[in-house]
Amino acid sequence: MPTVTYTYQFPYRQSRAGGPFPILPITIANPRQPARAVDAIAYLDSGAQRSLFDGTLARLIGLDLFGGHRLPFASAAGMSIDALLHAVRLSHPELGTFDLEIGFSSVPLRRNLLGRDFFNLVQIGFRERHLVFYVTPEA
Amino acid sequence: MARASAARKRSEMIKSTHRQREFEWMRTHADEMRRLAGHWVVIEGEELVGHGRNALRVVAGARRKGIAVPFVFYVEPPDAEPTAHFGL
Repeated sequence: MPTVTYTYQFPYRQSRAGGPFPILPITIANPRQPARAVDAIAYLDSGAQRSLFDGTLARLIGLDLFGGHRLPFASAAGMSIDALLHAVRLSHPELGTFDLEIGFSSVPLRRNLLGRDFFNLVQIGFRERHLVFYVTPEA
Repeated sequence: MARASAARKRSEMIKSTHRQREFEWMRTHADEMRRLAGHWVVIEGEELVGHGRNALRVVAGARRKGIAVPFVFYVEPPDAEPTAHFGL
């Protein structure tokens, strides 16, 4: 049986969406303009194939939102929204730096989602009953 | 023995405190957060740095105040009725 050990513990955070959620504050930067980075709130979403952030954040970090490659993001309900793909650098003071190509929504998005592309770069465990999650950066 | 070892390993885990002050501010300022619904907000430590409906202006204002990496987020309006949320 594999045993997983974790380095960091994060509490679920109370969200305006109602109730506690697994939320990670993360720095998002345009690799070409790193000085324009912002810290954003992102929800960990193992049901999201790819990370999706509000398009406004793309503008905040100096990206040309509609200059990215278009990719529809489809929900379980069947409806989809158009997103634009951009290479970004995500970072966290404890977890390190992650270079990813993520989607930015073409319409307002209430919550930024860190999906399985991010999960692929770290080891994550949820302890829902205790409202904590654990993360170890993958070597 | 095994339990003691597991407990020791758990205690060795580091509890993240990154942006903890800002989350605590949000938790303890529920009334203010309600008033900010629909706004983009920048908080630094225990200070509400700025807010408004235009995120670019809010973040530019924070940078003018010397905040290199503003912690910026959109305050969701409350749901009109009890609602369960999923990703999209």
